[in-house]
Amino acid sequence: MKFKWLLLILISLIFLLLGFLTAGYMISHTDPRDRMIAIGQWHSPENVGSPDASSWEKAFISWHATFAVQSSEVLYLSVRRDETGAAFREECDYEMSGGKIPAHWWSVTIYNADGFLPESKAQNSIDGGVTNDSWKIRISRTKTDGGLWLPSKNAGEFNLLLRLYVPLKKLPDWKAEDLPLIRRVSCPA
Amino acid sequence: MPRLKNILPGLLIAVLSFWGGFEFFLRAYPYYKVNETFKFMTNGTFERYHWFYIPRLSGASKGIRRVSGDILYGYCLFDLEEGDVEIKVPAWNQFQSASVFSMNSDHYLSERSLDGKALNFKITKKSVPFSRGFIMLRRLATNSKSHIKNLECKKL
Repeated sequence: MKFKWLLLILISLIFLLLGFLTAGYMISHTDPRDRMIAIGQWHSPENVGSPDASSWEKAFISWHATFAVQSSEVLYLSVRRDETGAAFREECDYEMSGGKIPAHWWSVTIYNADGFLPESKAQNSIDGGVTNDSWKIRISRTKTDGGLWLPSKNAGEFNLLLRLYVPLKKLPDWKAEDLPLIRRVSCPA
Repeated sequence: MPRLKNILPGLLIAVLSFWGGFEFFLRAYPYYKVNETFKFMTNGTFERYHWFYIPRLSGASKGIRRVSGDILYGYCLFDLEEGDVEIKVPAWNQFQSASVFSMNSDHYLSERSLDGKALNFKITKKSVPFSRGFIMLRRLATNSKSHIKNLECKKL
């Protein structure tokens, strides 16, 4: 009888640990895009920062970001693939283009695959306030002209995060044409 | 049949334990992340009613994921069991916002200014359903020489 109880306690501890490790593995290995709303090339998580989010959503957001606020305050949109579906690579050159975005203010920031800012002496983000109704941003290792430039040096397989501060639309109402388009300009073979 | 009767308790305990461990991770991780972030920002002091400023972050700052290079950040920890909290943030010529979070990173309130106004507000037990939390000030600062100063985060 005593052995039976010890066995049950042992089973319980083993599966408790297994459940804990499985959750950690799933949170860290789930492709963020699988849990997001797709708007053209961009993806945005639902229920960011919301107390009503599920425990999975809260853990998932906490893994991928730090102190995210609710979407009425800031809308977070990320992109990690160009118009052909290929992952962004620092060796390639890209062009991001767009028009007026319906938000009080916006910025776009480049991060490496782990979500950290790449080592760079240049600014890692572009201030949307300096753009006009039709703008282009070059994303490349080195600056090629006098226009807006986002450095991808040391970024590896990078991703971009578009922050829309005080957005003028709710998340389900955003359309692909409201958001910038990113296309690959050149890529070494 | 007797064999099934023997393994059923073990199977039940295995399933419940697995679910318990899974759910425990999901619920605990946001608290862990907030704790680790404040440990990094406060050098382990976790001092309350004190603003901690994060300098403009670059690639050299490996401690915090997905920070914005255009925003200056300030953080203040509080505990409403010790009393209400008063926040005063001076006027700023661009967007600024003060957001109130619980210690598992749930975002409850925000006071913001789009046009250069100061932010003054109180946090009480009636305004949020938790005691321990923090305020995050985000201030748009496209000028790299900008900084945050003269903020108040006071226990009443």
